[in-house]
Amino acid sequence: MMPTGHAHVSSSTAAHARARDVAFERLLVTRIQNGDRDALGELYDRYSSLAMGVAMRIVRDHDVAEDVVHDAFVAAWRRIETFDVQRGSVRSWLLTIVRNRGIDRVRGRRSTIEIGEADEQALLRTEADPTLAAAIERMGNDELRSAVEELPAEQREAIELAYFGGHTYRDIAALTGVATGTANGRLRLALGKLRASLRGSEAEPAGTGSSNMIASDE
Amino acid sequence: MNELSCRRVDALAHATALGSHSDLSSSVARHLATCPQDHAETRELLAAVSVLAGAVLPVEPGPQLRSRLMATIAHTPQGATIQGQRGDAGVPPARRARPGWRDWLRPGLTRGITATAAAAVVVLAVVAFQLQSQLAARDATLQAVARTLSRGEQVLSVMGSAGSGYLVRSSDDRATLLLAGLDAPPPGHLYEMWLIDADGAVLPAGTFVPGDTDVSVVDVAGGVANAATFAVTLEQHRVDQPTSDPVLVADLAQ
Repeated sequence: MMPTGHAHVSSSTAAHARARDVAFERLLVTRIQNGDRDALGELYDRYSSLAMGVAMRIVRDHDVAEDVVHDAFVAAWRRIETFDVQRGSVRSWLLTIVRNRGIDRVRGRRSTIEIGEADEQALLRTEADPTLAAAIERMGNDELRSAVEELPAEQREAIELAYFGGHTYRDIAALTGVATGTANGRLRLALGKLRASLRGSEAEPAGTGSSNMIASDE
Repeated sequence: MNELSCRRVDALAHATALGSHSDLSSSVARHLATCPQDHAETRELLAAVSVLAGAVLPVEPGPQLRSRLMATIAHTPQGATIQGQRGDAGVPPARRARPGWRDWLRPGLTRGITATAAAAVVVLAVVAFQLQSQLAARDATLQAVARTLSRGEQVLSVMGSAGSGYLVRSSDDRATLLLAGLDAPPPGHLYEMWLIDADGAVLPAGTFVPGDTDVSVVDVAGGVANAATFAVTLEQHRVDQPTSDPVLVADLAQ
């Protein structure tokens, strides 16, 4: 009997789009690990503006930020074999390298091709809760920014001084004129609130429907 | 070796995650990797710090930065080459004009596929009729495909630069690729199929070279129940991971 039915068509869901995104990213990492320079170019196309945003936030100079991003991508190229695609997001790994290199630049430390500290931080990423990490990967730039902007001002200031300024909690205490315990508490509270905000996003309902399915009914 | 106690690790998690105790990062990571306690809150705090980098306002780099980076990369060896997978160390692969994975997987393609879905049903009926008329001369696989089509099993569009066709998914989650007029691969090349699950894991699903007939019928190796995407790449030989951009893609998600 001929298939004479009708087509069931609906839009692709966000979850499916994310699955394809993850698939793309993993394939990209595999290609880079296999020495494919074009794949590194694709990684650059995908994340260079975000990397520049992080670098600018730290060094506050466009030319210096470009140097930081350039060096971070070169470091990623050299050390891509240390990245375990099964356990983390290449975006987080790459932005951690950018962040650490930016802070090194601000502090006047010599920028080397090695990424020891970034490796340490990336190692911590791999020990992060995978469900929450996946929720972050699903969220867009606007959503993530909202999560940060919803923090109380003093907590946001503390967490940004730590992450983008590379300051210890003792530095932060001195810079903000509070006791070290208070500064430390603000960091913990801020991250805790971000965590709570992300846990809320985990409940985001997945859509339904099919993208390219053609179902034929008799 | 755990140099830090569980309590100390939990107390330091936020500071190490933020880089304000970077000297202890490796100790905390080692502890978490080996500790029998789950440290759930600590692991969530470690994940939460990724929000900060992801929340920055994107800034466009200058147009010359990409070419500068690629020029540097052209002369920069990787720190450690994956043994046995790279025979052309230091030689960049030729830039391809065809679209990359991202282009094939983007929502725009999906919209294109859905827009042509209704028309594909009609085409499918014609293909099915042609197949049925040729059954006597076809092999058992082809007959199985025709039977599947006749039963109205799920049929998915497969599209890409190499042409278009259908992926027929049977009730036992096996699948058969049906292509008409597929380009012959360049000499020394073959087509390789891939199944990609929702987590992005890529599994090889068999290779094929189109025969002399207009219609190619290929059984996909492995079950497709957990696959989100089906893809076909052009390879020089059977490989464990794709080395080139896909020439055909189907979205299996539904």
